Amino acid sequence: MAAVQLRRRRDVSPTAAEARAMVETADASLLDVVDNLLNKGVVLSGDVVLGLAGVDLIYVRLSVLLCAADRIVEERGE
Amino acid sequence: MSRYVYALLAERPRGEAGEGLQSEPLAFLRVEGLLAAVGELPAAPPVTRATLLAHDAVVRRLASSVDAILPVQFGTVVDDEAALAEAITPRMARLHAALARVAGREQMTLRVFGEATGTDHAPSIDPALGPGARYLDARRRMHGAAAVPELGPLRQALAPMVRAEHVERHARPPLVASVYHLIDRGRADAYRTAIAETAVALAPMRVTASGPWPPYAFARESLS
Amino acid sequence: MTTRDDAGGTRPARTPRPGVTAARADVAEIESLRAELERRVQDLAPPRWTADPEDVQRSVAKLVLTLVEFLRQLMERQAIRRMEAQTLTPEETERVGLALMRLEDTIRDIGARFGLAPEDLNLDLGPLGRLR
Repeated sequence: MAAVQLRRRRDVSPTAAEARAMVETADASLLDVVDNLLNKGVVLSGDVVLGLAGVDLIYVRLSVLLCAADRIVEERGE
Repeated sequence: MSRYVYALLAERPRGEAGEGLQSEPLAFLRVEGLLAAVGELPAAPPVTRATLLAHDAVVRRLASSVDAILPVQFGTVVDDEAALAEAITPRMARLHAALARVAGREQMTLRVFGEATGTDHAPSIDPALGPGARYLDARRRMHGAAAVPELGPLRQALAPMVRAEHVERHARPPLVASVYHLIDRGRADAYRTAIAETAVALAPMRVTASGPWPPYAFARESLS
Repeated sequence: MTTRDDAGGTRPARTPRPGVTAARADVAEIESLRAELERRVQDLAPPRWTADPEDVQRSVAKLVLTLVEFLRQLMERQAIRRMEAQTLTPEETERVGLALMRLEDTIRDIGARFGLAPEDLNLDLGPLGRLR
């Protein structure tokens, strides 16, 4: 039985295995490149998928959530 | 085929756009007031030293021919213009603000090594305060520690050059924190000089600097 | 922008620490940066699939606690902002502080029951950023 999975959905994304393998052998200057390119930068495809047993069930569109969060936080200011 | 996204821009680059990391021609897709620099690729490239360096080279070349650029995370692919618009439109205002902030600027990355002291131990709290107020005050000072107080003398030396700062504290000794600074383009040498001159005063903390980079760390949004 | 040399061209500015060779200090430092980045890039892909049925409880707990922690952080930031802006009465400050403190303890206690440390309650929400 599979665990509940919470993950970001990206149509084609670098796999963690690839990225880790690269980090393991990276020299100091490449580590900075890895940091900039994989940990920073605008994130466009930010969708969260809730799944069970390897089946995607709920698709949360973060762009909409982001908008809502902004509005909610602003309304409840001082 | 998909669109592999390199960066977001406010305007087309001056001169030739050049090629993408797989030598594909670059195109510029407009979404309201922004442009996305994209290349048509069958899929996102694998994560290798070569592809990362090639992607960075494309972003650097674009950055050198525009005033403001927001690099996009490696491996970002959208199906088509509609998908791109869907992702960008709800955040248009924030993206414009981010572009304005990085205009004419570039990034330096500092790694801070040593023993973290972080918290400000000054007993600035009123002893008459209850446990809840004291807790909140401690949390406030902890957030303030994110400003890496260990950098003390270096901050003063760098202040004239730093336009914005993004800090990430690490619990990974000897790595204490990564500090990303936005500086005016062309000031990297002055920045490094300031570090070289202040380094001794920082002991036992050590700092290494890399850059200049396109403003990768100032493109990502955060909760705060 | 200056171009970098083909080796990547990072030029660290540093002064060697007395009594410690620069080479040894560099290795430990580079390795710590490497370890930190290894941890970070894990967030790029979905968590590992497991076949252990007991894990369902743990992963549900992780999901729930992570979301609660997300909300706790939002509330804490807002409370601190208002405390600094002095738009909270002393009594409100005390009450909110106590509530946040208890919430933090509760999250830690429930997490501990499932073998979850506070660092495990991480979430990469893409454009919204990371929790930790």
